[in-house]
Amino acid sequence: MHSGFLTYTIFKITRQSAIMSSTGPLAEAFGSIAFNLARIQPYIPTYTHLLLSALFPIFTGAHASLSRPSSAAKPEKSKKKSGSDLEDDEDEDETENTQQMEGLSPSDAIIFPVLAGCTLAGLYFIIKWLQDPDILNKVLNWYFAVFGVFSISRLLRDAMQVVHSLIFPSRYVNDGIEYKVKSRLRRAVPVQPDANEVAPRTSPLPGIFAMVTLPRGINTVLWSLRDIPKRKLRVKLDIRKILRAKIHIAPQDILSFAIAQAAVMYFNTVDKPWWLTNLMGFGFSYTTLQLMSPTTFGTGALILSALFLYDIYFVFFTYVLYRQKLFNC
Amino acid sequence: MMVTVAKSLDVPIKLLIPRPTEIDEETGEEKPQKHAMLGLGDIVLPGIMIGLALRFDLFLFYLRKQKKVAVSPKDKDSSENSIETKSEEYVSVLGRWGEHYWTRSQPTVFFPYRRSRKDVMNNDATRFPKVYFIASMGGYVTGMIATLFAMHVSDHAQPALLYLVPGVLLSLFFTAVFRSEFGLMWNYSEAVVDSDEHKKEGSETDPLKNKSIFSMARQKRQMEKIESSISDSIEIVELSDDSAQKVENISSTERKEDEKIEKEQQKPSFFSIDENQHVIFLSVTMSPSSYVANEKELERRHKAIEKDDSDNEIDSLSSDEAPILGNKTNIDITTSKKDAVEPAGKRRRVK
Repeated sequence: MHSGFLTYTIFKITRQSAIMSSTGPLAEAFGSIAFNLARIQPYIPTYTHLLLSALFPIFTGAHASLSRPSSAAKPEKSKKKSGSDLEDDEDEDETENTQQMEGLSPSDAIIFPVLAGCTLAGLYFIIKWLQDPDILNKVLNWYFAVFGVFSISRLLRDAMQVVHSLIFPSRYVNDGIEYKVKSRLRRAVPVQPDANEVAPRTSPLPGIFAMVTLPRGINTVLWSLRDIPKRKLRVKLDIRKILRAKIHIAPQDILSFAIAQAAVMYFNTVDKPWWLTNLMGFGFSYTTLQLMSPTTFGTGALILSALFLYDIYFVFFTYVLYRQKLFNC
Repeated sequence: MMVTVAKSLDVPIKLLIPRPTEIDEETGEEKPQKHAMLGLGDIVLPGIMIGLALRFDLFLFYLRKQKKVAVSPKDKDSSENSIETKSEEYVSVLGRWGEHYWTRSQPTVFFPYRRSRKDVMNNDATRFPKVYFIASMGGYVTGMIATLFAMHVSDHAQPALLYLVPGVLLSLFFTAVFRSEFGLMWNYSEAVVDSDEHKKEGSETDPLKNKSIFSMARQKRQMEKIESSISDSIEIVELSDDSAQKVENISSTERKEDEKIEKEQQKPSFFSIDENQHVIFLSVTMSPSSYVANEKELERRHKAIEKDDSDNEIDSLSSDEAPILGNKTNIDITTSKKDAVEPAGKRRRVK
């Protein structure tokens, strides 16, 4: 009875629409969605690219800034307890090298936007006065170059380490058994619970790739490749009465520094392609996220709110005050 | 104002995203490339908040691992056991991407065996729940989509922070309120606790004063921090007298005592060389590789490790002086007054 009534009303409505040739609201809604999607379709890659470019430095910088929290205890210095742990400490001075982050205080929350505003206004008026901002560009570029080399080399070095750890991890699971890779023994040894039944593997490759038995030559080459980041150059410099230095340089440091140097030189002297600007931007944000911290959520909220107001002022109100066009294309 | 500055200055203070090229209707050629711009401030400023959220997640992870342990009283007077909170040792979570990928829980074609998520979380000390991080990232993405929407509809530049700040802050706020952790979140601080050295010097004890980046006290503290952090690598020697004379100098009796204590504790000196012999000493050495010449050596190492778990084989395998078969990777460049003196411990003995 009810279903009959329902079908009758639907029949009547469709008959109505067929006669009057007007579309129902749902169809209109779908139609407008389809129309707008088609309109923005050429811009979707741009916007996706924008979103991913913004998320990438935040994600990587935030993860790189992790260090021992105050609720955890310091690891004891008896790292060299057992031989099996040798494979785990990549770097003896890893803990000592973590940089202290610069914290921001509530008073910074006030000073920051004021200072930024003055800088922005100052730059704007200098640009207007100079007509041709060439010299200003040159000066600022070389000023940024030093920090640029440092930050890009850091980004590239960490990227290389991530790629290396993806190809040659120190632990992996295959077929339900966890293996620990020991580079000195050149074996991947199964971890305790299954150690008795399963034999250690000879290939340095992880997971299912280790099941392939490679010829001895290739195996040796792969193990050597795996060791490359650990082979550090220890440089000791002693200039009498002035300075003594002992630093460790790894191949990834050298390579990343060389590439960063080349990139910055190219940027400053030859051309400024958009992807190089982006690379430098990534480097700057990646490094800044590891060096700066708002200390507490309250201070951070204060800083963000202050800059929120600053941003509104500088984009909208300067239009009113200075008749500055909002969008010059 | 902002747009003019951002466009005129070619400095990398922004990200440039290429827009789709349009074709000029009259000439049929492509118009010059336009770019969408995003200032670095719009990435860094919410980014420091998101970074703080991630560190807060790690903090909470270790906080939940803290246990109350009954400790026997140190002084014999009190008969009660005092209860202390014992914190878990920190395991570094950096650089674990490869491990996480190759030991993860989802079953795939390559990993038919499924480890339950609980199993992974409980056994792997390097994974921790990232609730606040994901929440703030979600807030950031929402804000960014709102910015893009506003920019597309209005066809002029939008202040991205206008949408990002409420996105990030509100998402963090609501996550904390829903999880009833707002007090923890508000009180969480990353301020470094002053070490004992600072207390001795009688520096200002008020933690809030002079914490600003722009204060002079801050500059001093920064210099101290930099000095302490690089003192392991670099030592700036005083420019005054010869080291031999310094020892007899009364004002530097402390240094003399330090040297004595060093020798007593058998702490290795900065260089294991005689410093007075050289004007400039530069040494570049490569750490030993784990390359083995043949199978026999590998077997020997296997047996050495399996036999004794004591410290002996640690010394033989990990120290600089480990014998390397066939490899001589030492490069010594010394300009010394007395060339005949060979610094001890620099040559590798090839056995």
